[in-house]
Amino acid sequence: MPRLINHVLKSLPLLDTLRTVPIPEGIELSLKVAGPMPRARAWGFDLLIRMVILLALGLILGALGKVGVGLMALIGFFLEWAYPVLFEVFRQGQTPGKRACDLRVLHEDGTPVQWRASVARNLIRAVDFLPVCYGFGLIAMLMNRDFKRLGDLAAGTIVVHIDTSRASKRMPVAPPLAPNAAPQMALTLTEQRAVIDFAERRATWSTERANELAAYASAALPVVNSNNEPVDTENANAANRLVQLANFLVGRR
Amino acid sequence: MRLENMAIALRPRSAWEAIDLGYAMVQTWWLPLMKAWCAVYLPLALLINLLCWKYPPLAVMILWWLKPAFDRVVLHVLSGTVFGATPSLRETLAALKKLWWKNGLFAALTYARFNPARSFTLPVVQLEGSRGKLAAKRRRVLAREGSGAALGLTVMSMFVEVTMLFSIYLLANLFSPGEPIFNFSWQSMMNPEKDQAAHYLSNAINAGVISILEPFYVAAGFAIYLNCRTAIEGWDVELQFKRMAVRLAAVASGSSESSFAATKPAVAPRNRPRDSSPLAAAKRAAMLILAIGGMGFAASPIDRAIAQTNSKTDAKAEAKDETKAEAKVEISPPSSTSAPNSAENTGSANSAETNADTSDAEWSCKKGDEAPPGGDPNTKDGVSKSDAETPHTGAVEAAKRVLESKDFGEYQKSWQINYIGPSWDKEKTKKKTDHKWLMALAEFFAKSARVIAWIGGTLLVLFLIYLIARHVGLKGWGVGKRNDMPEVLFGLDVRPESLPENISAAASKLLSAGDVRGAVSLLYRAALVSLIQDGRIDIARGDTELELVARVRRAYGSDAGGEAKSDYFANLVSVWQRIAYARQTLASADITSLIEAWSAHFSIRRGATASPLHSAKMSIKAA
Repeated sequence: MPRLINHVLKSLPLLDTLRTVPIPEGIELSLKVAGPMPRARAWGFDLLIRMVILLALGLILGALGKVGVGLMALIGFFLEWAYPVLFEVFRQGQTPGKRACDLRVLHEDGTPVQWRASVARNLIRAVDFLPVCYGFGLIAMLMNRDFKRLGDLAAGTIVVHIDTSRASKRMPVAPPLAPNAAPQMALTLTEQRAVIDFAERRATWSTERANELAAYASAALPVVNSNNEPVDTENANAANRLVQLANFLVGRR
Repeated sequence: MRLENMAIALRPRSAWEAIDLGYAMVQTWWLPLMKAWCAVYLPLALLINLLCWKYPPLAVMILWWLKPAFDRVVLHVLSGTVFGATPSLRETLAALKKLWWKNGLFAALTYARFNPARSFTLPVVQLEGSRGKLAAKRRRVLAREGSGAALGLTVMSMFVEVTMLFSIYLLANLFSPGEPIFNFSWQSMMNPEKDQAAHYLSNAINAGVISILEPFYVAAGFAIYLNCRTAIEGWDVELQFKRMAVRLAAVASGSSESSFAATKPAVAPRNRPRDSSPLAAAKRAAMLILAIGGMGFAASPIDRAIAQTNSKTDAKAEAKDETKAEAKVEISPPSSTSAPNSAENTGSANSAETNADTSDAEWSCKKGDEAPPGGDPNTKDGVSKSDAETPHTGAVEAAKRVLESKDFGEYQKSWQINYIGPSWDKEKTKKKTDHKWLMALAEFFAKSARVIAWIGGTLLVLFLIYLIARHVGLKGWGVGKRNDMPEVLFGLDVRPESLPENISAAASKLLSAGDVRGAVSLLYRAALVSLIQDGRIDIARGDTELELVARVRRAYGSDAGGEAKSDYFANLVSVWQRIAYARQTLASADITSLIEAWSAHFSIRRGATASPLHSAKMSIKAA
């Protein structure tokens, strides 16, 4: 029994990188906080883009002599300070690098980042950059649960992953099977989600593995089809029946 | 492997999100990780530094090379924690032999040292115990999901480590008065005796930085590994299904109340925020245990799940237990008694790709599978031997010997053919003159390019300013002030031409014909036209009626009679709203008074008095 207590206690606060934000409609949004590595990657892409722009302009402006050098300095200044701010404000919190890495800057409450916050976080970038290449920023991120660098702490912003996986998934179409009629056997929302997940991802598993997984869900498998005729439980493939149930759950009836 | 015990939330993530999870792992469980790391790494680091006391940079290199050995300690603690049982420090130290001896460490320290996905493939070797070809196969299966991110992780971790080190060195140098503390020239590396103290200090910093960063690197690789397996084997789905099975079994045989209490914690934790208080957690646990204890039978599936083990014999023994338990519980569908059990066996074999043709036994370590590459010949010794053999007889003799050698004091005869024919200089000078026009042309091009660049640059800057201003929405930029008057407002035609000559008369006519709506509409429309013609208020496209009233009040309120005019307009608007939107029927006396008062406040200019631009537009339309 102590082992069971231990198990339950430990399993309750499961570790994840989600931050929940309540919104006025009474719904909780889950934001997937992004850590130092993906953010450094996005920054690297942005750095590359800015370098290419500067280099290309340098080739053209080189013809202008000292005026060209002056212009270069000005453009370099704007690329350093205005580039992130303008992109974050006008492109839904995404610089090109963040876009490439599926990241986005938001206010802590999940709203799109605005001028104030964006300017603040990008000005304090200079402090994060100290002493070389984001030394302070990295330490701040490692010590912070939301992976915020100093600029994020000051501006009240958060960098999150955007969900891109869901859109690409397609559930195989199968004749829908209604879940079992007994009310106490009704599936909870989480369980329904798991059944739909199973159907969506079935193609990525081998047949054996899919059958193994489906066997765990055997208690929830439908025993009658849409015409209220009993399903041949001995011979019918459990995985197929689960996919049929998922088809019912997503509303294909 | 017991998914029920996993301390991390299982859900499909991108590989980069998995890296973040790895970082969160170290943030959460830094204490046991740091304890184990320091207990193993610090003594060894000290020992190696002492052994290399004469040449400290060598100690850094050796410790860097030995990283895979320390990674194993981190992974040992981390995997234990993730699967529900953090090993104590004593247990970790006891496991060191198992971690280092015949566990792929030799490969990791030799030919696999530069594996760019080191931390990602470590769990394959250490946790699954795969070696050689099998390990390679496993890596290939997993690599489809995560190798890109694993590679990126290694490269970036390297950068991070270097920048962290240089951050600290630079900071120290910045704040040190006089000479910089750390001087990493090649000379200093070759002759470390000069500033021995700085090298020791640097080694200490190095050890500190690696101690902080290496766990993150290992954890991130481990998280990518877990994420790959979650995706490939559907761990998250398996876990949800198992919980569902427990709940449904309880529901099928118990009263609905107690089953609800029992299953709630088992189903919910996925969505539970992490900062739930320990008190609440304890309460929930107590509830669960009470419920399970009360029911007796419901405990068996959970217990079963916990007691499940990887070893085959255990699983067999358990299969017996389980069938007993099932017999007691009587889960309704008969097929479920055997199916999950066999599934668990193969589930621990752990590969969606390969479990079809392999069994548990094959995952175990195959000895001799990893053939070490041939021991490198002892070249170092050879060199020192030959050094020792050369006679060592003082500098003068050595110099003599050098001077007597063949290379010195040798005479050499050489010959060459020189061209003494007529010179080609004339043509060369000709060509030089030819260059002049070319130079002039180049100069011309350069100058014109400069002018073009100037013009182009100016235009570009202006265009950028225009774009920014337009985007920001500065007044008078981009959208442009509309010189012409609007022709439609609120879906009403507001061209003067569309109005009858005498507004009041036309409105009364409509009213007497019973068309109240038409009459008020005409009045309102005409009032709008009059306001537009006055040009004293700006009507934006999105304005509402009430905003319009407010604008009229602001523009005319201070005039003589303006008060009355804006009051009339407000009244007109409210009547129009009541008729048009609320569909109310109003007394015709009210409408009549409105019609009578209209011409006192508004008037329409026609024909020549309309703005020239507008009339021009109209004439085009007429043509």
